[in-house]
Amino acid sequence: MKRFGIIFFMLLFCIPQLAGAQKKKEDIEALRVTIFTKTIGLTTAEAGKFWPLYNQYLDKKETLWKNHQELRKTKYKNIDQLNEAQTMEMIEGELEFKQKELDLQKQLVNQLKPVLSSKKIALVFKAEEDFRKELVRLLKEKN
Amino acid sequence: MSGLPKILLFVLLIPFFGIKGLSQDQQKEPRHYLANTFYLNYYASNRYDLTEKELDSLGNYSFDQTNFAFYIPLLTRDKFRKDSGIIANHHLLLTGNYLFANPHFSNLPTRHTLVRNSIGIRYMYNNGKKGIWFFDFNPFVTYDNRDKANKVFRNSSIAVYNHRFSETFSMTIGFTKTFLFGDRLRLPILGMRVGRLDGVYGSLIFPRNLSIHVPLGRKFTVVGFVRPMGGVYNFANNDTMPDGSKFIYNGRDSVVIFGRYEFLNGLRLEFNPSSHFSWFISGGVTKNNVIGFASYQANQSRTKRFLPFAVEQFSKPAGFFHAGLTWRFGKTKKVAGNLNMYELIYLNNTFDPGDNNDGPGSGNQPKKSSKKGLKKLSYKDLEDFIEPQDLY
Repeated sequence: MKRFGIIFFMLLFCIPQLAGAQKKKEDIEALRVTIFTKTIGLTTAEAGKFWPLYNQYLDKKETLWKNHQELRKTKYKNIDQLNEAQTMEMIEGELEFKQKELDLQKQLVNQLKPVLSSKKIALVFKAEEDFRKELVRLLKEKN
Repeated sequence: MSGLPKILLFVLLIPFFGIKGLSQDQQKEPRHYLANTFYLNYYASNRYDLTEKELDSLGNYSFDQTNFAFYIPLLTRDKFRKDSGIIANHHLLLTGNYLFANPHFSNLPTRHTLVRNSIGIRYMYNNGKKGIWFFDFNPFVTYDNRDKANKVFRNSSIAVYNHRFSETFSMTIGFTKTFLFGDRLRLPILGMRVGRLDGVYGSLIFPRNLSIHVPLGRKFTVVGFVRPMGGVYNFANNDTMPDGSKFIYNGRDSVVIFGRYEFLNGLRLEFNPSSHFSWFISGGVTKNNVIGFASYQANQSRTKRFLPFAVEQFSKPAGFFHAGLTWRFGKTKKVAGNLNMYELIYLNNTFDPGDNNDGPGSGNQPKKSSKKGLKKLSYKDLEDFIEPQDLY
């Protein structure tokens, strides 16, 4: 028992308490819910259908974004070594990324049609902007 | 306790697997809503004097147990219904636990470590509206470390339906075959939850728990609870007492069935520093505790409750201590604002793998936005949410 107790407390304090950043991310996600609900004026019934769809969209967008960032990082780093064809490929990649992002938005709008009125769908874009503005405000406030 | 170091070694290695898993997940869309979850906990209750005629020669009794358990999502399928815009989903999980129970009888010349291992399957279906179906099938094997040859296979199960009437109210109804009360019981499950799952809420799930959850900021949660904790185990019947008599049961059984349960009334403090790691510490008093022994052979053909040959009920309250660690690995799909998924996570946390009623805690339950946490933002925290041009 004593041995177990010692190991227990070692685990408790020695294991790196991964990602305080992860908790902040959850706070930010929760802030998004608050702002969207207010800006779009989501009712409980609408929210029940809206959030699963919007979260799915965010997961896809985040993966697309991260994969693109990864590619971009490597290519920009070696831009001086790229030949004409490779540079064109990189430009195509940028455009393809933007197109995929737009496709995701279009898919979201289509999925939201049976869930929200067109006015409320339009307000989703406004809510996204409000959310980002609020984050920037919080960042500036801190600095 | 002989297997415990192996478990601890495994637990110490978990973060390395987890970190590897995380870096691989970066480039892929998350597949599951629930993370791979592992938890380890320790529970001990105070000493009692045995007074019943059949048991008083055993001296006094105390109990402790160590439980290592997990659930791993195997399959998650989202189904989008175009006409209604609803996303329903199926979740299939592998569950399991490895439990060492140590009943201490002061007059027994040897120590018994009772092992209970299980590997099971859990299936949940969120219909995307307001209903969740939950099924858990948990076959387990139990044996005494002093007589590993005599193993008994049993199974427990849960089937429930949960309906969310509003953000602040849901009801659960179902059925369970359980050994939680130190006996083989088939019981109905009736439950309700009042309050928001991302805030303060009260939960009653008969016969498993009555609790009130109060978040203190984003990282701490205090839970007040009343719940049973117990089980059924094999107990080797090979002790010889100083007077030459055989304990526990002087019959033909090489093992007997040992059942126990305690009613815990206590407070639990959960600390969730990150979504990958959390711990809890809990204490309080136990009341109406029961232990009992039943002949294995006499009960072999029975499918209902066991017929015990010795039972002792302790009316005097005693203290208990319970503490545990939980690790969650893997990137999960976003659930913010998705009340159906909040409800599914709540059910998954309420019914632990292994029918022990101890569980991994509610560290993965989304909580309301904390203003305090948002005051400490840096640009790095916002990288995934804003684009550089938003700053101008």
